[in-house]
Amino acid sequence: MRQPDIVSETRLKALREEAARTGEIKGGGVVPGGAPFPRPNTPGYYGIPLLKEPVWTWQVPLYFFVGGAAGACAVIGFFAHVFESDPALARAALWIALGGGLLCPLLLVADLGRPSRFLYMLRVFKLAPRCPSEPGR
Amino acid sequence: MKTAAFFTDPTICIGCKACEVACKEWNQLPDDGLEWSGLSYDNTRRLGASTWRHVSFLEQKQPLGQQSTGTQEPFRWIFMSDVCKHCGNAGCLEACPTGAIVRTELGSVFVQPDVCNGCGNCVVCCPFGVIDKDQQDGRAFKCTFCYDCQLAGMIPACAKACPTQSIHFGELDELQEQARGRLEELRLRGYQDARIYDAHGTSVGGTHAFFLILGEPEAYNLPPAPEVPTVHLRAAWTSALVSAGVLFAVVCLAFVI
Repeated sequence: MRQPDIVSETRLKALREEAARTGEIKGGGVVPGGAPFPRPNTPGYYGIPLLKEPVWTWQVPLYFFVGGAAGACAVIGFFAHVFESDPALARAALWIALGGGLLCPLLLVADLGRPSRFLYMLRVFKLAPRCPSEPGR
Repeated sequence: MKTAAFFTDPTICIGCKACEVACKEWNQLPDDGLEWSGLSYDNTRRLGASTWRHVSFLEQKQPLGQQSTGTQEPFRWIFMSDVCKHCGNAGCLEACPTGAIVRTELGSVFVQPDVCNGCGNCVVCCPFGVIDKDQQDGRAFKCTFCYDCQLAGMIPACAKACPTQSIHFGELDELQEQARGRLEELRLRGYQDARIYDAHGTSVGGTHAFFLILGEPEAYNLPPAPEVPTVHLRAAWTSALVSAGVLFAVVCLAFVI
């Protein structure tokens, strides 16, 4: 159990005085559980988030991982092939890169609300892709 | 063709939600469930895939102009009908990879339902949190500015239904002029905290649906300084290219050494 200390008690006293004087508390402070305490004057609309939360499903973070791993493996395989230091490494890395590269579009198509329309992504070409998942598409 | 706009004036809104109902009727939107939220009279809570007009109810402990409520504390009850802002630079439009979201000849931002494939990019790129994806349907939806009505020479359903003409519909320039006049009139009548909210001076570049609000925009769930996410595009691509370069360099080094 938390014992009262002089710092909290002093802050509480100041808060109570501020509350009695102005009816609201601007700064942060000690909030004892269950105390009849005026709420700080928080902006916002009933705590409802202003922005919408992302609707992306688990496929998208997995795509980021698989895509990143495949890309890095492609780079490793490329250099292993160029320097001819380790043929087994080059082969394994390029196989992983190929597998990841094939898996990525499947993950992104599975994330769509209408997967059958995945080709619509290619309808238009925007010079600067505008959103994180778009380069993959 | 003229540039269409909404000017929503909460000072004469009575919170009847006729705009919400008219919008759902005209656009044949499903209901959002019949639940009591306990948040004043607002049981809609926020805009969404099937809610294109939303009346906010604000209870504030300050006087409304020079009105007296007869209560111990001053009190004001504000209603504001929120809607898609149809931004000058629309985050949703810039994010849309299929080109489903377009700028119409009326200046509004329109989602073509026959093209949208439900990728969800627009949902995170709207600085006002308006557009949302319908989880059952799979596509994204928002206010169409009653594009079909307007092409037929009619006015949008919400503006048509509004019994107090709190929702003005017309040409952008004229409505901005009207809003400035209304603001001046309210200031003279003691509404000192009245202001026009239209996101001018930000990367959003002004909106086609603007509001005359009392007090802070945060209280209406409106962002005080909205920004289109594409302002971060250059930094994002720079960091992506830098990290790709670092990856190349490190892997190359690992083989050389």
